Amino acid sequence: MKNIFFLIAFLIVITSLFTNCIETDTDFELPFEQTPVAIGFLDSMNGARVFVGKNVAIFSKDSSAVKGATVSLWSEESFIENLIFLDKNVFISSPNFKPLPNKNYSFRATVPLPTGLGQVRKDSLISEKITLPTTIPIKKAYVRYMNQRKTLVNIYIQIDDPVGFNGYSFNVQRFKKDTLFDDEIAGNPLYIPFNGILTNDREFQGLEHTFVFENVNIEEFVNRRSILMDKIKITLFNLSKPTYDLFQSLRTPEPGTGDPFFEPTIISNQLKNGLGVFGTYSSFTYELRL
Amino acid sequence: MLLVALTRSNITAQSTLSGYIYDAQSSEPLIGATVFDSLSQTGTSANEFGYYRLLLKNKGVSLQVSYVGYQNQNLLIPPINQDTIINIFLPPSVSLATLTVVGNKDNNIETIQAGKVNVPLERLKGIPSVGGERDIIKALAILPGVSNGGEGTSSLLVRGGGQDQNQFILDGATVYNTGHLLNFISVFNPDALKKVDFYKGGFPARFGGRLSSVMDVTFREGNKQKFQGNVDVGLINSKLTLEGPIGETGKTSYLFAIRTTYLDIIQGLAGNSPRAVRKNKKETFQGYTFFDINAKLTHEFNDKNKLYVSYYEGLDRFRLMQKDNGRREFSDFKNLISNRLISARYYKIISSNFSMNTGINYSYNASKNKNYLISQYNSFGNKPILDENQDNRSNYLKDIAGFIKFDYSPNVHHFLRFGFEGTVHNYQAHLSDYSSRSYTSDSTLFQLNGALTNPILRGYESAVFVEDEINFTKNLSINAGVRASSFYSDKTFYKYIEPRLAMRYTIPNWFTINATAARTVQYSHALLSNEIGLDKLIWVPSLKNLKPQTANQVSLGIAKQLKNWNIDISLEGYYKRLQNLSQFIFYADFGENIYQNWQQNILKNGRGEAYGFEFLLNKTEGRFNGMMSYTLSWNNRQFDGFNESKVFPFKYDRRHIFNTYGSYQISGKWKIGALWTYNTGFRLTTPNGQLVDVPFFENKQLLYTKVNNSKMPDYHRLDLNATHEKKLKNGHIRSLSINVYNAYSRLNPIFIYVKKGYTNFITKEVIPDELKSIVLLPILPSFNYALNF
Repeated sequence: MKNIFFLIAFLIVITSLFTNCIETDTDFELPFEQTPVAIGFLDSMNGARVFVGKNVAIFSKDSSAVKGATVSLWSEESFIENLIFLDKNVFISSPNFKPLPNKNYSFRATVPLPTGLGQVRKDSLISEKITLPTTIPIKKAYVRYMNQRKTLVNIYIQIDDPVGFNGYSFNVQRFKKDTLFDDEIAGNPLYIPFNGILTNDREFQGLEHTFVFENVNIEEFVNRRSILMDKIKITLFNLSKPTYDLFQSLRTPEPGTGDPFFEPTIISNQLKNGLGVFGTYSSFTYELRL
Repeated sequence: MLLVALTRSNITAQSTLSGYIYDAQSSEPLIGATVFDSLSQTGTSANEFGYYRLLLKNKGVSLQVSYVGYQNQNLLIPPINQDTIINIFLPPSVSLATLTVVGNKDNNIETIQAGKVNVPLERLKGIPSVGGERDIIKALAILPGVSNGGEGTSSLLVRGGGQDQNQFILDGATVYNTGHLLNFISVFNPDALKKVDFYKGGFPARFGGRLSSVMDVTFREGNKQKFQGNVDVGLINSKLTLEGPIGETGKTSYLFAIRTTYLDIIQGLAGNSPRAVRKNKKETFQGYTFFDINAKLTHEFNDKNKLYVSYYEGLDRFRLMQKDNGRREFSDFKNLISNRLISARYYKIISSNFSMNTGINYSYNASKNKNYLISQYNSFGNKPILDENQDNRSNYLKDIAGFIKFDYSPNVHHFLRFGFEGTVHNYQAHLSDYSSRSYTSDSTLFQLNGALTNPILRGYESAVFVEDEINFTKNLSINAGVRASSFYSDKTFYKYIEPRLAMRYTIPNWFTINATAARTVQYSHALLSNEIGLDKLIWVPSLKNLKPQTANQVSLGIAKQLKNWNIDISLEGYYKRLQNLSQFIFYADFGENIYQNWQQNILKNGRGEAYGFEFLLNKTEGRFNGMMSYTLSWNNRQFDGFNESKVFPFKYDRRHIFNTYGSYQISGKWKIGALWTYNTGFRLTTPNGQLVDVPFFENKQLLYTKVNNSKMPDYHRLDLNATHEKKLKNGHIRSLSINVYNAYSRLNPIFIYVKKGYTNFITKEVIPDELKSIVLLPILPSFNYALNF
């Protein structure tokens, strides 16, 4: 009996040591193949923006930017203009360029491929046709106060959804007269509607639909003072399918969130000679006075 | 000892020999016991109620009656010309040494029948297991064509199917959650089980609702003659089973089994507790608890009328508490999974060749998560701002079902089964409430509360079926059937015809050919998600825009018995096509939206293809018994608009699976066993690069371009066990067993991931990105002590 007791005690201690999982380093090799990358957007408000670069290995400290890339903008087979190098390998269209809806455009990007010492430079030509989707107007937008202090509102946004796939993204900004709140869209050539609400019209295809943003806080604290906003600026983006897919796939949580069981979504790739997407979207802005 | 109760019944033109086969000591029916007439060379097996029926060609019969773990009996019946009822009472094998017999030749014939496996529960005692807990699902996973999802789990993957495509039936009711303890232990308490039939392909028409397999489990009825109990104390959990008669007539019996774990207490002894995390002595606490209750009440009005009421209740709780002072975070996550089943069945023998089984059942499966997170990143003036978030989410599925089934044997060549079943499913995919607050020590800066509720979706599923077991000759038998099923939900009516065919042909003195063909339909979709490592299945119905899943599958195999060696060998090939598959676009937990708007976050109309070859060598008799199985398989999926619409390997596309198991009875008391398993590593999606300094996206963006583009390291491990059984002076049997899971402590990673670097908030130390693997179970020794009284 005494022996059995000691055996049980021993096994309990041993087992308890192993009941937690173990995180270990691993010599697992991640696949890597360097590929030219191009991510571009054409939108009704800001024209064209294209990033050209490369993917880099997971533990590399390199930048994705590559030197010597060029990007041009075409309509059907007609040259429109070379995009202007802005910064960080982003190219933008000239201020005069205003894309038209339902017209075919294409980007043509040349990306220098990695070469060994003394080898002749080779370029990869990435080209893709794109069409700007129609602007979808907001028919009506209104708010309802959701608490007595009137600091929380529900925002209702009504649209008529056109037939065919439409991806939607929103940007809701709150302003107070005479206070300093920057508009994050206007005058920002690097803005893309990536971080807002993202949805599609699968459930209301071709119908009138009202989006609801619940419990939006319109109270801000500045210098310990509560300020209630008096203007809401809603921008509705109509995203093409490739743009929607790209945003959707890029917005999965990254493994850095601490979830080791993270299973990623595949980046939607549209290009043949490289990796990336040329996306398009149109936008409509509606202002609500509170 | 053989007790025979002989009763004359009405004289009919055709003579039928029928009755129940019972355990002679407890009067429990022996489901699946075989009856073989050596004169006419015909045989049958007792049905799920222990009832057998043999139509006679000859006037006299020479019966051989056998059942695993019981003494075989021979019975010579004089010529009869009228229907006759004979209840047969088989005595259990008396000595402990006879436990080495885990099957017999007649049962082996059954095991090589196309698609069906009769799992000998006695074999469970010899198979090493996690924490010493015998597990029926893990025992199934060593069969060819069957595998577990991940390390130590009780999820099943059968011939390329997903883990949601298996139907688990417990006394007639569907079980939706089959795992305790993060799926390490199945919900089926081995002490309460009487019979387990497993169909991995070509299942008969009486089964439906799932694509890939059926596991039909029957509870024991309890000892009808005397009170009896069993206590089993293990390292992970302990069990108590009580059973006995109610009243003195032996007509009513009960079975009650309870099982519970105490891992929390064990962890507490090692210093892991929530209190230790709160007091900054530990950074992480993972706690697991579960319990389950099995109960069954059986009442026998007479030999022709029986009533069964079964009950199952199970609850799992998982808790993950983390404190990270570097990141200034504290989180407390709780997951609760509950399961409840109630079934009532009535069995009536209408005539010697006609019987009815009818009943109703209720099944409830729910999952609830409670999440609490408090963090401090910013400050307001000199005062730190605390961000406090709480959210509770749950989902459930509630079924109410009814059925009526008939068995009819018009002559010796045909055994007909037909019936109707209907189920009302209530699906709740998402219920939640949340609150969010930012505050300092003296003021609240921000507060938000809310609740989100999806509407309950109802699905009305019904089916009629008819199947005929046709014995053309003693060498050729066919089970042909058809199932007409329908489903109504979302103002949409789906209906399907599901033909089924299983054939067995024996070339005398050579080998047996098995073939199956089946079409199966599954109206409930299970969306697999993951929350802090917990696989979560959310059941949703087929809708107007979400078609039912279907599968067409065929298999062909040969089997041979080497009688002198007591060995069965089989080789089988299969091909399966799956259609209208669905899955979440994101596997990992993606916040509220993925569940609330699940219809917008799923891929649908997916296709799958699986094929492979299976080899089995099985020795079931003698001091040494064991099996060796090998599966060579391919398993692919395809969804339009996903992975560029290209075919990609399924996560569990394992090319090679090899299992070998052996058990040896050293003496009347000692028995040892070993299991070695080898699997090709499962697939996972890894990044093949990243974007750095792209102004459109903040920070780094990992690039994932191909689904399941990498393969985990191959998985293998060795499990050992030794059992010592002793009959005590008072007649009780004491059993002590020692198990060692993963004996050579192979570090099998269950996942590999890029652990993203960060800057420590306090020390400003920069922690770089790292590639890490998670190993769940290195070596795990355990013991069990059991006492039968």
